[in-house]
Amino acid sequence: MILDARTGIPSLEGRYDCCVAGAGPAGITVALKLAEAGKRVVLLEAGDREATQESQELYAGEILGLDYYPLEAPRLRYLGGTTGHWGGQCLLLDRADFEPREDVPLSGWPIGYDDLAPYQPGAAQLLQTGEFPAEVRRPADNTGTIDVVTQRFSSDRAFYDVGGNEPVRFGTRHLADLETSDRIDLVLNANLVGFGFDTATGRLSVAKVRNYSDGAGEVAADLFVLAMGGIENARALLHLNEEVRNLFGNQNGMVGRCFMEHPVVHHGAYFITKRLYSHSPTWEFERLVRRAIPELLLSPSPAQRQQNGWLSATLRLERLNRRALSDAETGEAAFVRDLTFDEDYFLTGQSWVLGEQAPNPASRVVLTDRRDRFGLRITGLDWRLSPVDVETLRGTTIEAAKFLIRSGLGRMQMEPALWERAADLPIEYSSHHMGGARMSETPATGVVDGDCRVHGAANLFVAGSAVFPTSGHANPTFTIVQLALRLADHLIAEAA
Amino acid sequence: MGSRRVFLTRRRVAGAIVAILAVPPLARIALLRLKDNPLPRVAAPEPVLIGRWLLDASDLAGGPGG
Repeated sequence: MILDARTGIPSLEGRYDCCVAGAGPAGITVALKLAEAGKRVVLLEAGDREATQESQELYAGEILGLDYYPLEAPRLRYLGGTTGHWGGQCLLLDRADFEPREDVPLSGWPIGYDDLAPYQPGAAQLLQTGEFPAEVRRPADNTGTIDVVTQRFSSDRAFYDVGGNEPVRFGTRHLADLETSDRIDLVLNANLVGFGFDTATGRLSVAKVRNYSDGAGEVAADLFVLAMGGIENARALLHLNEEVRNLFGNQNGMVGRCFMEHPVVHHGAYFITKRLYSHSPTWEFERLVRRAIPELLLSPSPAQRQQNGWLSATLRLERLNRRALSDAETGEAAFVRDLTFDEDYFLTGQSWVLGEQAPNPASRVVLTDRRDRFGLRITGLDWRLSPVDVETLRGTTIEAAKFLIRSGLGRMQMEPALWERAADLPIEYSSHHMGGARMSETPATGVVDGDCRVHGAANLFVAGSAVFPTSGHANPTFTIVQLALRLADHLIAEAA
Repeated sequence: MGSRRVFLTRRRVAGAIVAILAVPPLARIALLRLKDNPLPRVAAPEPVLIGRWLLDASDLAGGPGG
């Protein structure tokens, strides 16, 4: 059932099996699966059914490190969370992304690819992507240096389905499920402002809730899940640890640390010298039958990136058009100027590169001295870029260009600042917020364990990309949902 | 000398339909492939950045004709 705290905190009587804070893709996934298993769940959503200014402005924060979007811009604080404006791109983490690397400090997950693989069908169904093939990488040529990576879209549809091609919006897609469930109490306009706890047992007892007036209340539960997004999960844990002397995941000061984005550099144009899409048999065909956005994703092979010290990344060749290069695009390169459209090349498009960041404890979410309307300290984001992050973007771009040159398929532009490793790199962002409550074997290097349980807290868990120890190049939502399904299984076993 | 009769069989009709549907696009694809003009393959590329374009060192010797 759906309750509304706007005019007063509703009576939430009795003890719930689980209290989930945040009704985005992670929180809704956990709640639905727990309810399916017969558990009683309270799902606290700080926003309403639609975005409201009073909710959204609570995402405001300070930018302390590299320039970044205003923090209230890339995230949505209402039912369905950031799926309200996401693009629907879904990728799998590679098997190699879970493995530790000697040359990358803090790399490696406490769980492996095979721990998440059983949750692929469930995530594909929730996100409406269709399933991934058994191998999402296949060599682009016979050099072993570069692969083509399979991508799925939440807007994928069968060719005979003439309905809309909007990606799945969790708030609207699951509204009826949430309304009719007699196991889930979804409370809108309910802001999580703290917890009641017992430090002796390491257990939380209640979640403290406020509405946008003076209403306040508490919810009692056996298990608690933070599912409020990459930045807010870290913020809530930082607040909690101020009260519990850093006993809950912050024993080594790791809460908020190793915040990661997927930095992006746009390169400009590329051209193709063949009239047919024969270099990628599925490129346009997929667009036709699945109505997906055609993009060719080229990614250095795991062996190639290990050899060069690069992290995971993809060079994205966007949809081709039958269009000549403009004079501005042709520029000063005599070689390109001498080419004739429709004789020497036939198709053009744009390209960009997206890369993984190395886990960096100095890149972090912190609490500032300013406070929001509930007296909670607002977020400071000190996002940083390491030299290896830049080398990854640079190396991946050059590797993709070498593939085009080797095969005679065409040429591409490259952002000169990236070629020159200039300090004023025109970095853009993916709005993927990962890390801050990273998964680790022990609290020495992270915040939650392999089951997403906060180190030192008996009944507090984290869902979402905050737990990613490393990010790979994959857009995070598919992995978030896989992890949420796995967490729900764990909570069901725990509640039993 | 009698004329030879041609029987209209299902197989012939199907063959004619397939030919009408399949031959023109296949012929078009073959024609387009013939007209393709890929750049020379380069076994060991040496990328250089010229005016934003990531070219091969061998491209600097001249235009696509060499």
